[in-house]
Amino acid sequence: MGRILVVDDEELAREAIKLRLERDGHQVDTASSEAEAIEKIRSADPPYDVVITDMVMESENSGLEVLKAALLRDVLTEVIILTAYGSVTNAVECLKRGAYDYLEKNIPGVDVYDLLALKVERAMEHRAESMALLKRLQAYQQPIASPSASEGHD
Amino acid sequence: MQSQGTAKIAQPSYRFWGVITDTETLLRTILEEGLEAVNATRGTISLVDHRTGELVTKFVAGLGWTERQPDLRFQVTDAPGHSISSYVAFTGQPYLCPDVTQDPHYYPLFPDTRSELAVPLIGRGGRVLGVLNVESEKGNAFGEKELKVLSALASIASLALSLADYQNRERALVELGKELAAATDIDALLERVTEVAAHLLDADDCSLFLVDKSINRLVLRASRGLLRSLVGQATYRFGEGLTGWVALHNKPARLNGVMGDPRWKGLYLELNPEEISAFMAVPVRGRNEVLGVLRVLRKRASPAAPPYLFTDDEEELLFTLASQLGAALEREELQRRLFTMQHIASVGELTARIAHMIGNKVFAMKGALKELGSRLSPLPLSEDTQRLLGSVERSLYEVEILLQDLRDFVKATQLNLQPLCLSDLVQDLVREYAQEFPHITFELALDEQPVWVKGDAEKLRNAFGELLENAVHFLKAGDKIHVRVTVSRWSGRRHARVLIRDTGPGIPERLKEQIFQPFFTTRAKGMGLGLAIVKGIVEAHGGSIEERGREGEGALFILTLPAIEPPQGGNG
Repeated sequence: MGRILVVDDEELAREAIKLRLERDGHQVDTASSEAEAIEKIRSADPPYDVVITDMVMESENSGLEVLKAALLRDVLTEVIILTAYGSVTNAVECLKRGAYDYLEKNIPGVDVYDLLALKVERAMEHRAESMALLKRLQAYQQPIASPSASEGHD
Repeated sequence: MQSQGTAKIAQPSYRFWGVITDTETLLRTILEEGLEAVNATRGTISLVDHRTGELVTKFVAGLGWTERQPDLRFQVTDAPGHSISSYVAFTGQPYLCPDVTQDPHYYPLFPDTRSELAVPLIGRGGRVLGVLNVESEKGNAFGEKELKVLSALASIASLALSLADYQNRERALVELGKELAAATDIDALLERVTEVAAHLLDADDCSLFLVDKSINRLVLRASRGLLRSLVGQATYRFGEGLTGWVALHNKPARLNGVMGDPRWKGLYLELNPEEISAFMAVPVRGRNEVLGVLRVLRKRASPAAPPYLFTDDEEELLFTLASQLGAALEREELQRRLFTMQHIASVGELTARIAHMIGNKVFAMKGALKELGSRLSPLPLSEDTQRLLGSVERSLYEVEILLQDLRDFVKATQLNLQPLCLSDLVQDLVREYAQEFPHITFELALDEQPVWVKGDAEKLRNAFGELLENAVHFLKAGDKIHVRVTVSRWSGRRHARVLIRDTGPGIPERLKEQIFQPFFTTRAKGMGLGLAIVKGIVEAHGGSIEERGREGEGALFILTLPAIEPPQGGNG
């Protein structure tokens, strides 16, 4: 299954998400801060499939910084933003900048962990589709690119 | 060397300046100088008592007065035999009497008096303040020259009297201004305004009515005499009676014998109608609207006394008082709002932070609980254990509901304003609630013309929804909720009003002050932010909300919002 990084400054939350996603068979790393997350993203090889990050940690925009780092490492990494009370505006900004989705932590009566697991599944599918598309694009470009270039010289 | 005659005229006016601060001394000096200047045997200065319509001898000088008692009173009239001074006070014209024995107005006080000269003291607006009178033992003692001298002295006396009057008023106004600026107890202050107004205007009573927007009426807030017991109860509609007329038209009204005026209604009277001599009311103006009406009344001293009317000067004075009061009231309102807003802002900021922290913890707890659940699921659990797990889950759910409440409260004042049809909004909402709560009867009354406001549709829906929700909570099967949407207009502005009345238990008097405060609730669930949020939303729209029901008869919420004209081509 997927390689996932969970970023949250709340240890219990990190652990709970990790356990929930591991039950679905994912391989889960965690980071407790924006800085640690960026470090792990940069050094990850291969890159993470999905990054789940809290929006507000050291700063109001920590989630946004994590998002940038993830997309810099691999533009097809899917990023899911977690928001606690009141940070929806920032989350919307993240969506504009290429995040896959966002999830509110406190929706009364909703099992957000199951919802998160579902979003991770979809994100994995989305990433797989994007990668397949990229491969097809590369496969399409390669055989045509060099022969057409040599043909042009004839 | 100057001639004797010139010196006589020049010297007195020079002497006057030294004593001008003391009106009494000045008037005495004027009288003495007058006697000397026109070579009179004796003289008087009498002042008009406007209340009784009498002329009262205040200052006397010359031969024969010492044993006699001054403070003689004569009725101001043109009827013969009431004294020449009284006649002059009545006509406002100087009077030269060469031979008193032939004069019908003469009133004999001294047997040796042969001729008299009397000139009126005229104040601003032509009102007769008093009379300067001189007499001689010689017949035909006074002519044009004496008349001129005496008139000049009389005008100095009038000026001094007017000046003293102005100084008194100024002192009282400055004093009141200070009190208004420092006021903390608004009701005591309003009472003080009526006191000062009555004192300055020599009025027998003074009442202050202020606009209560939630009921669109003028309500008596302060009075002195008969009406004192009706403070808070006596009300006028806009346009009703003279007081309502003043508020509606934003104009003063001044009347003599109010009963003859078509605007007069006599709903609430400080005096018996036949006792009223004169009435004057001015609007208390705020920057944009009429805030109230300040009115004064004079009592008739006796059935025979002439009407004691209010003058232009006095109207101006009452206006000055009213505008001082208007400014103070607006400042008070502004401060109250500022304070509330600051309060809400700081509460909001703190709330947001705490809610964020709690939200994160709750999220983590939910995760841990879920994990625990999934690990325990293969095991056989006792009913007790399952119930405990369930109650933790339910508590977490309730915490998240509270967090939502807090968020709504903080966001209540952040509006996205658009023109919207309030009638439609309320109608939709009432229909929804009627479907959801079939055991309660919903009645809706709408004006024929749809009512439009500039508002945040979502927030207003929340506000009205909360009010209906709140009503439903306290009602039982068969109870009624009556909702009415209407527009009223006062001081040139349109206001939308929504009345929500129910047949529930109503709100106890002792709780009315608190229901709109945050964290107040009598309900088991929630944190009691409901009505505080409603108030926040309504006030952020520039409106107001009040509860005016009676305990035992049901609750009555009245919302007021600034209305706008329906847009062109809209369903109006």
